[in-house]
Amino acid sequence: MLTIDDIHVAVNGKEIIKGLTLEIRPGETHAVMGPNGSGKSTLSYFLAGREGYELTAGRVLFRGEDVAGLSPDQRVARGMFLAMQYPVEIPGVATMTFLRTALNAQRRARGEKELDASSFLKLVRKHAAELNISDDMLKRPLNAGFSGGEKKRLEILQMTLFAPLFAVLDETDSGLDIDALKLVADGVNRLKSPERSLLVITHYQRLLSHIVPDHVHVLAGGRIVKSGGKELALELEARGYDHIIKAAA
Amino acid sequence: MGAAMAIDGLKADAATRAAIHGVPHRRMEDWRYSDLRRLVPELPQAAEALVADQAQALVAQDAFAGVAAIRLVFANGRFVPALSALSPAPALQIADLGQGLPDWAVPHFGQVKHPVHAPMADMALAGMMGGVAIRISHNYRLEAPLHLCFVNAGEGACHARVLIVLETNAHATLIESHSGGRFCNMATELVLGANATLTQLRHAPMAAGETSVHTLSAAIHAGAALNQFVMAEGAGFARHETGLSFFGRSARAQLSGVSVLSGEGHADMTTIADHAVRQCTSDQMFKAVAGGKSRAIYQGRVIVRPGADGTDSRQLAKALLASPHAEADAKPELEIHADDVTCSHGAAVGDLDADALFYLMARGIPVAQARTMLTEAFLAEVTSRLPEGAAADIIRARISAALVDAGAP
Repeated sequence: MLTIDDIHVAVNGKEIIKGLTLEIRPGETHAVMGPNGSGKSTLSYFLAGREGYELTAGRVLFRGEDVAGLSPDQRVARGMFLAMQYPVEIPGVATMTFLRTALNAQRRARGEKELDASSFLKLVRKHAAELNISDDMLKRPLNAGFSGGEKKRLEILQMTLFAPLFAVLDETDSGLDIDALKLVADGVNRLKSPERSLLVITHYQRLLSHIVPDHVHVLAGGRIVKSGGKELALELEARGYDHIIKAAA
Repeated sequence: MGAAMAIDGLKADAATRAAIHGVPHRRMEDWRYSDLRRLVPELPQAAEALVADQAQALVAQDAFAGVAAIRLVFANGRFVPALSALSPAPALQIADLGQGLPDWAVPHFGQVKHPVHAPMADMALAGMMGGVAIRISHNYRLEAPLHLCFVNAGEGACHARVLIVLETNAHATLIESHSGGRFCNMATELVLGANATLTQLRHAPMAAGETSVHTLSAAIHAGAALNQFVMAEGAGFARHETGLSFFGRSARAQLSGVSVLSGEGHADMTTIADHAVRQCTSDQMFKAVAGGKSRAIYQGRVIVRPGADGTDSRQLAKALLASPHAEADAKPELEIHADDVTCSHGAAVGDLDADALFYLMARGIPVAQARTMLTEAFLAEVTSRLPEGAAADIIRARISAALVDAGAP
């Protein structure tokens, strides 16, 4: 599904990711954990194709295709998705309008027929209900004035609507209380399938009790310093990053 | 006839005042951003009258030609009753100032206060090639909009004057549209009697090489409301100056504007709100999208005179630079001489938010479409002030089209 082959990524000329290799197969859920400043967010923005995140060495293949020349929207059309840590507030764009514009832009890029207003509305209502998202919330401007939990639920609603093959969840648990966390995690778990892969980026173990990973990697100083199964997350929680990073060095 | 002599006297006085300063220039504080003298060192000679066929063709091309309205056509500054669609009614009077000044207009014409010296309004009177005075009687609601349709072509200057009087509790909608012409200078005086309301929509597209100056002087009496929306677009030069004077409690004015500029376009939105009485409201919001090498300007002055307690004044000016060579200037000013007032002002100039742009693209929306969405979102706050109706829909459509010209998507 996704091959990350010894990548080096610089932001403003400063190298943040320094030789990272990761292979994610269809159906797998990987977790990347790491302390602040380890390069977690850089990895997620880079994979989404954000301008200013410069690949200085290595390559990323998505389903065999080198993504280097692909803009963020082209990556999405091919089936990649990033659920952001800080979804952006955009006053002046109604949430529902945005969702339909985004979904139809992806369909258009893939040469699929665009959804008309009524079939789109039906689809949104169905999935919104699962995530406890009200009609009222969908009528409001995109993310504007949404609580942390509302923003994250809307990210997962988008992930559900867009049905990507590969999704990065960047600190999806941040700002969530326990109930909201469960709602969001249930939404993600519904999307798990043998064809779909997830990369969960998180600082804390607690999300991984709900979205159980097949593989856990520890990111430090822009590299993966240790990989293991789901028990590695528990070990990190119990002993802290310092201990694991020092032991791996 | 006394009335005709009255106009001649006013024109002579205006010519004397206009001659003192000449064409406004950047060393005059109110014109520092709009150096008209650099553009037109000497006012051009009066433009020739348009032949009827040409004027008629231009009227047919007007953006609002399809809107059912009481239409007053000015061709190269001259009022042309033959091309106009007038429906006289006892409650609506339209007087051609070429025929002299009607008695009811004498106390108002050339007399409506402008809070600051307005040299171009003087020039419009001094050089007046045509003008009308419109009166809407007490308690009358004019259902069809009044459409002042200014068509211009060729070289030369066009000067026109309009007086609009809404008597107590009269209500109307005014559409103003402008097209073409090397130099178009028009000044409107507006009197809103107690509890009268006027919605004014002005659309002023300016092509490269075209210059227009609009001066509105409004006297607003107790409980009356002016709701103005100005749209400037294009690569030419436009100055829209509105002076508000409140004469009674609870009078209100909402001034809104959108400038969408391309090429070397220049749009100057200048406002002066003079609060001399209590409890009046002036609420201003101007937004600009500047592409090419254009320049968007907002300068707004709010004066709250001693005793004008309870004044509520808001000024917001924001500009989006769609090109690295575009420029925006915003100068909101407050002069407050009363204690119990609520006055706010804000201004911002910038590019589209990079985080928002990335967010939309990261959801599959291509960059051009994402930019358009964000630009329209930027304008939504002000375009939401447009009323319902065919004329406002035309302005909405013009904004979308002009954004393409400005390279904003």
